[in-house]
Amino acid sequence: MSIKDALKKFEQKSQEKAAEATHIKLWFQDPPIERLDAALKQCVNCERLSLSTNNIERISNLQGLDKLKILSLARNCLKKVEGLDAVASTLEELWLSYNNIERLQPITVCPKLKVVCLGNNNITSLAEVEKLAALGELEEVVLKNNPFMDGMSEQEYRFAVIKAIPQLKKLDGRPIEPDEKEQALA
Amino acid sequence: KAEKHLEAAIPALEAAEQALNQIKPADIATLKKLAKPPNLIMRIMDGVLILRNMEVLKTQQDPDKAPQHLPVPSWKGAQKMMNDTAFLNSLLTFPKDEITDETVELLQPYFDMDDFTFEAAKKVSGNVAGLCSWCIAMGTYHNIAKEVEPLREK
Repeated sequence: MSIKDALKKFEQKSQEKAAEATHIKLWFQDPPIERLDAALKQCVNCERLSLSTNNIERISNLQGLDKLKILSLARNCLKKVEGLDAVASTLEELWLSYNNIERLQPITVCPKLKVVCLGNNNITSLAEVEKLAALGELEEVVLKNNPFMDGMSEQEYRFAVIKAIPQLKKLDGRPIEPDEKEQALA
Repeated sequence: KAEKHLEAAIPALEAAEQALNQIKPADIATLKKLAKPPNLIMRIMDGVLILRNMEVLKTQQDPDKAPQHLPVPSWKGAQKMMNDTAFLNSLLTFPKDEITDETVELLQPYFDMDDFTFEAAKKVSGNVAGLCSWCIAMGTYHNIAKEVEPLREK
């Protein structure tokens, strides 16, 4: 389904205008959305854009979403993090679990990111995770079920991530207690 | 005030716990052997997989439900999950405070389907319908707890 049609459906269902709504719900469209297009730019008031459970392959066309704080693209077909420059100055949460993402690098263009969800992706090395340390405001990450943790115990995995991103407060939804942090950094 | 608000989630949680207690290990043993259980049951198991951050399949048209699109259920993954003898107990002790907003959004398409109810599941599956109540209760709990959190901090 095109973004234009999905927005039309959303307007009918929610009785809100796409240009006014702060939370635009386009999760799981029938048939699934395959690409993001310029029709998104009418969502000028959108703070949370929900595009999860579709078949989107690339992040693009986010221009005009000047208030966007939460971008949800979980359970799609993304292979990389890209196209975030347009929302870099406002974006606080990026939900990307259940995709095929291997590399994270351009994520650091978004200095305000507090929450990054990347569970069930294809991150094969801890070095990739370490790149998240450059995000000064980062508090929470979800990384469960990525290949880099194969062969690690739950504890080894948590310690490795806490060490890689010392500013973290929560990992996979579980708070990092001072004790745990101390042990991880020891 | 915060505590009072959170009480709103208690009936759903109690109902979920009761529903889980109705499920016997034998029910799970029977269910996991089915090569092709009712579609609704497979979708409920997808909900359980998502809540546990476990693997689910990509969104593709489900040949069972054509022309309506549904996420193709991840039945093999569900069967593997049910092989764990601690499966039912792990749901009773599930760390519900660790559920994220993202997870609840991923459950939303399932919650939006008209037949995703205990009653409908009961008709096709008997006791394991309790897993449906459990998924819904986890979503409800998270949403209420999230509203309450700022009140608590005050």
